[in-house]
Amino acid sequence: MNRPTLPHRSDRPELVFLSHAVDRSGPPIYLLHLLRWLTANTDVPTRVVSLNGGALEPEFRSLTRLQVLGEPNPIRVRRGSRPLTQARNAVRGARLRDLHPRSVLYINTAWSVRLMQYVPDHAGPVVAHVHELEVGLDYHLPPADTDRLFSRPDHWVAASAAVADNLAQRWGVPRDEILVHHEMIDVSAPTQVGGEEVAQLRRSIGAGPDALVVGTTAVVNWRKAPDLFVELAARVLRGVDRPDVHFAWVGVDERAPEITALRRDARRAGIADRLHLVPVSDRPEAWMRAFDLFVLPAREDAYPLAALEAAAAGRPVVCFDAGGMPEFVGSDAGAVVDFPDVDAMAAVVERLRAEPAVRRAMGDVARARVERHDVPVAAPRLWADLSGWIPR
Amino acid sequence: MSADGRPTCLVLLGTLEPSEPLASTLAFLEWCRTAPDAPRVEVLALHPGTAADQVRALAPTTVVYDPQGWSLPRVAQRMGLQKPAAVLRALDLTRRLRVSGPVYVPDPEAGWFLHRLGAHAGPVVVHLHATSSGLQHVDPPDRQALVDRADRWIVGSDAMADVAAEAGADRSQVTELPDLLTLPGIGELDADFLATVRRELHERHGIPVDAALAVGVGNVDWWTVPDAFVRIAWETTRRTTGRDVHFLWVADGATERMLWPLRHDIRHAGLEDRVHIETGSRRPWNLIAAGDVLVSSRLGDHEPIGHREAALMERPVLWFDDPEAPEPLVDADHGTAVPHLDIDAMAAAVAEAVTGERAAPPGQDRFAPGTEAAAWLPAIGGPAIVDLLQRTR
Repeated sequence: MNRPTLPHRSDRPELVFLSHAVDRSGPPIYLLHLLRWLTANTDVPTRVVSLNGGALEPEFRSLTRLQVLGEPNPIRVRRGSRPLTQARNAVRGARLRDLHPRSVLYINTAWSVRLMQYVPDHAGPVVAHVHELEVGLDYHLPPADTDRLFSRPDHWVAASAAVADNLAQRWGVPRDEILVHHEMIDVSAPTQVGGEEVAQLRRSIGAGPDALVVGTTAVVNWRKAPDLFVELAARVLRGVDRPDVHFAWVGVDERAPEITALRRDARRAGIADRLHLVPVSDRPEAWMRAFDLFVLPAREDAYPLAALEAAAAGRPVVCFDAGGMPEFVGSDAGAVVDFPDVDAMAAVVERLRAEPAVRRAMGDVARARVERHDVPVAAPRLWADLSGWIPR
Repeated sequence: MSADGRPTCLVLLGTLEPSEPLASTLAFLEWCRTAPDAPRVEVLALHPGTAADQVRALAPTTVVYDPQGWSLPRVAQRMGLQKPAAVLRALDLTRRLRVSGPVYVPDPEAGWFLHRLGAHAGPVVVHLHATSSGLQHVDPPDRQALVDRADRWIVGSDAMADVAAEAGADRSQVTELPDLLTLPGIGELDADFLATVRRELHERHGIPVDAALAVGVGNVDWWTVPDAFVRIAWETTRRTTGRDVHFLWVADGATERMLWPLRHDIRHAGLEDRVHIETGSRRPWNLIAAGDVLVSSRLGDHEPIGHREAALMERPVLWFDDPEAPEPLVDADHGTAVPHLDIDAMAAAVAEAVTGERAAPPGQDRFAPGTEAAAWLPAIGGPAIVDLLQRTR
C-alpha cells in the first residue's frame, strides 16, 4: 500500500520524473531503463511521481522514491464537482510540498503533464519528453493538459524525429529547440531466452518449427490498428495454397470490447485457426524470439519499444510509413510500406516467408542497428543533455 | 380513450438507443402523429438512450430507469432511500400499466412490462422486426410473458415468423409486414430534385461533375462504422476503372471528435480530395439516391433497412458477406456480397458498379400504392399495424 509520507523538503534539487503510470507500457519501461542507469552511474537524486500505479511498482520502488498520487483516491468526486475536485487536487498537491523549488520536473509522456496541476508554481526547470504523435496530442490529450504542455516546458525531448517534426509543424515548438533521443532497451534480454521456452510458445499457438510466425505486441486500440492486422492475416492466408503462416497479437486484454470484433472478423474471414490473440506477457523478449517476423500495423507510433525488442531478437520489422519506426527500419532492417497499403505489407510477408535468407539478413541488420538503443549507449547520450539542465 | 375521442395506444420499448428496429418504430410514431385516423400513442420505455429526444418529439414518453429524471421514485433513490424508491416505482408502474387501450410491443425487451400489465388492457401486439435479433436476448420469463400476453404478432420476415412460432405463438395470429422505412419527403424524389442534391454535393466537396459517387452511411464508432470505408476507397482509387470515383461518408449527427479518427485515416492515406464527409441528423436517403452505389463497409452487424432503402431507390448495394447476419433484405438484382474482409473484391465491386450506365432515379411512381416498394412506407404499413391493434380479441 502506498502510504502518504510526511513532507520534508529535499535539501538539494532532484530529478523528478512525472509518469502517467508505472505499468508495462512503453514510456514507463523506458523510464525504468533510464532510472537503472542513473542509479548505477550518477549520484543525481531522483524521484518518480506517477498518477497511477501498475505492475512495475516494485521495480521502481527498488530504485527510487515512488509517489503514486492518484491512488488511493483521497476524495471521490462526481464529474464536474469543482470544489471537491479542487479539494482533491489540494490533498494530492500537499504530498509534493517537499519538492525542492529548483528540482527538474521531467514530464515523461504528454499524458503525465496532468501532474503539473499539483505543482502549479514550481520554479525549477521543466523538461517535456514527448512520446506521442497526432493521436496522442490532438485526439486524446484534454485541452487543459494541452495548454499545460505547450506553455511551461523549458526543454523539449522527442522520442523520434517524427515526434519532433510533429511538435514543430503542428504545435509551433521551434524545431531547433527539440532534442531527439530515441527510445532505449536492454538489447541483451532476448539472448537470455532458452530455446525450449521459444519452442513452447510456438507450440502454444499451434505453430510448428517450419511455420512462419508473424507477430506483434501492443495493447488493442484504434491507434495500434488490430483491424489492419486481421486484414493482413486474411490477405496472406487467402487462396488455395494456404501458406503455413501464423499471426500472433500479444498483449490482449480479453475484457476489451474490440476483442469480440477481432474474433468475429477472424471467424468470418476463415482465419480463426491462424490468428492468435495472446494475453499480456511478462516475457515479451521470449515472444520476440518466437516470432520470425515483427509487423507494426499501427496507424501511428512514435518509436515503439516492442519493435526495438524484436530487432534485438534479430527479427526484421515491417511497418507503415507512419510515425517514427521508418527511421529505424530504413531499407534494410525490414520494410516500410505506404499507409494503408496492407496489400504491400502482405507481399513483404510473403516474400520474407519464401526467402528465409533475406529474412535472416534483414534480422541481422536490425540486430546490429539496435545496439545504438542499448541502455549503456543511449542513456549516457541523454544524460549528457539532461545533466546540464539540473541546477547545482 | 383520450380527450379528443381517439383511442390511446401504449407503446412499450426496452431501450431508447438507436437501432434499426427503433428506426422503424419511430417511423410508425411519426405517422401516428400526423395521420388523422391514427390512435394517440404514449411510450413507456425501460431504459434511456441517445434516441430519447427523437421519441419524445413524437409522443409523450416515460422512461422507468432514467438517471436524469425527476420522478418521485428517482428523487427517493437520489436521497439514498432504495427500498421506498423501489416501492414507489412499482406503484407508478402499476398505475401506468392499468390501461384499457391497445398495447403495442415493438421491442421484445419490453416483455418485462407485461408481467405488470393490467388485466383489462386491450389487444397486445408484439412486433418482431426483420432487422431485430428476435427473442434471442430476451430473458426466459419475459419471453414467456410475451407469448402469454400477445394477442397478435407482427413479423418482418419469414425467419421472424419462425422465431415467434418456436417461442409458442399461434401461427394463425402471426402477420407479416415489412419494417417501416423512414423516407421523409420521398414525394420530392424526382430527377430534378436529385440533380440539385448532386450538384450541391459536388460543389460543396469539389467533386468533378462526371465522377461517380460511392456512398457510405452511419454514425462513426470505430469497429462498428465506417470500418473499412477508407480502405475500400484507397483500393478503389489505385485501380484504373476508367471512371473517376469519389467516396462520400454520411455520418448522422456525428461530432468533430467522433469524426477525428476517420479524418486522420483519410489524411494519412492521402485521400483528402477523394473521400468526403457529410453530417446530418436524418436518414440521408436523398444522398443515397444521389450516389451511384451504396457501399456498406460495416464489418459488424449490417444495416438491412439502409440496404433496402438504397435498393428501393434503384441504387446497387455492396456489403461484406456474413452468414450470421439477418437477411439483407436486398435481392440479387440490387445487391452484391463479397467475402468478409476482402477489400480487393469490394474495390472491384465498386469499380464494376460505377462503370455501367447510371440507373435513372426511381421517381415517385416507384412508391405508388400497390407497388412492392410502397409496403415499406409508413403511409401503408402504419394503418396495417393500427388495424391489428384495433381488432377485437
